Amino acid sequence: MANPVQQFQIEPIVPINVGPIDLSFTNSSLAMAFAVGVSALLFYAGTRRLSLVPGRMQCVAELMYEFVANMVRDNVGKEGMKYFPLILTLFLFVFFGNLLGMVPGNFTFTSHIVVTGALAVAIFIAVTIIGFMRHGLGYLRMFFPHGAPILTAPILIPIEIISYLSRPFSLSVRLFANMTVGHIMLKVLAGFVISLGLLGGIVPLAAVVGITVLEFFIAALQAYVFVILTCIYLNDAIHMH
Amino acid sequence: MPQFDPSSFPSQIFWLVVAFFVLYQLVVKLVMPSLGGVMESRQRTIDEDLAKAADLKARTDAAIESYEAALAEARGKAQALLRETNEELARAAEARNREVAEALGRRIEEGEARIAAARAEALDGVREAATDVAAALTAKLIGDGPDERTTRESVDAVMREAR
Repeated sequence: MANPVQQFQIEPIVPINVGPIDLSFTNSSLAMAFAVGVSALLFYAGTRRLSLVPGRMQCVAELMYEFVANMVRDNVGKEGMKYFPLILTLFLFVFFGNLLGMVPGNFTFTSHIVVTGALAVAIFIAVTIIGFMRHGLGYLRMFFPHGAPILTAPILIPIEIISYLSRPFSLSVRLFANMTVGHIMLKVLAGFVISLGLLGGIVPLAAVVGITVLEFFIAALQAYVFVILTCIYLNDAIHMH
Repeated sequence: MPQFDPSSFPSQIFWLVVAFFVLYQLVVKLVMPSLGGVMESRQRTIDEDLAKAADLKARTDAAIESYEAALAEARGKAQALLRETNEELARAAEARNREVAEALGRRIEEGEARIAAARAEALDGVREAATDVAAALTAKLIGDGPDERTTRESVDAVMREAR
């Protein structure tokens, strides 16, 4: 039985070394390329024959577009539509990263903390810069809720700062952990199917089938959660709270 | 776990940036202009249609209003005309009535006058005859009658008594 974490192994496909740094094109990079490719395919097919009354593929593409657009509009408001292309990119990337990770043999790049962490830190920095650009030093009022008694400041401000700073951490770990655990669980249960033999293996097989369905759901849900939290952070930066 | 092996981090971050940038370019260059454009134009079409519908409705309302105003005006006019005509007819009928009544009155008066004249004439005739008869009778009875004046007075006196 294969090691359940072996599926997360990074395997170089095209070794590239820039000086001492290893920038090889790996199975993770390939999965990212797939995610980009599927997004491109979807939107290529959807926008090939544009019409006011959409066809089937255009409907799918528009559904995707409207879903994210509504998310931004509802959570950030009109000012947020400036960042809509970025949010849409983020959603497509994470969504197809998660979903294509469910294809057997394909790598799940969102199961690596460095990927989710890089995305989360980039979002965190961007949101903080947007906040300071819009409100100047007034953005620091984020750390003291409006209307709270001044006496509570010594307790509230550290709590708010910690919660603000922990955003990239929770954002990245949530996605990474969900993806990693799901795939490990599938692998372990699938291993049981083999080791328990023909009769006993039916129970874990049923479990694997059920959990596969669940994992598809989680793949979509976690992409949604990742993006909606980004929207909420962006809303905080634009409108304060 | 391979997730915590830092040797693969540079490669993953590098390709993440590349893939994300490519996808972002795709969204900005392909998706936003085409899909965003068509959805925007659809929204615009819908908005325009709605505006047109609202405009047409406003015009319909205005037309209905003016129609009802015209109807009310016409009804008012008709009623005024009816009332006027009625009054005029009543006035004409009254005038005719008065005229006819006057003409009839005149004719009655004329008739009465004629009757009175005829009666006076008849009475005169009777007196004439009575006087003649009285004179003739007296002459036959006593041979010689009284003079004409006395006879007339006595006839008049008898006739006054008889009346």
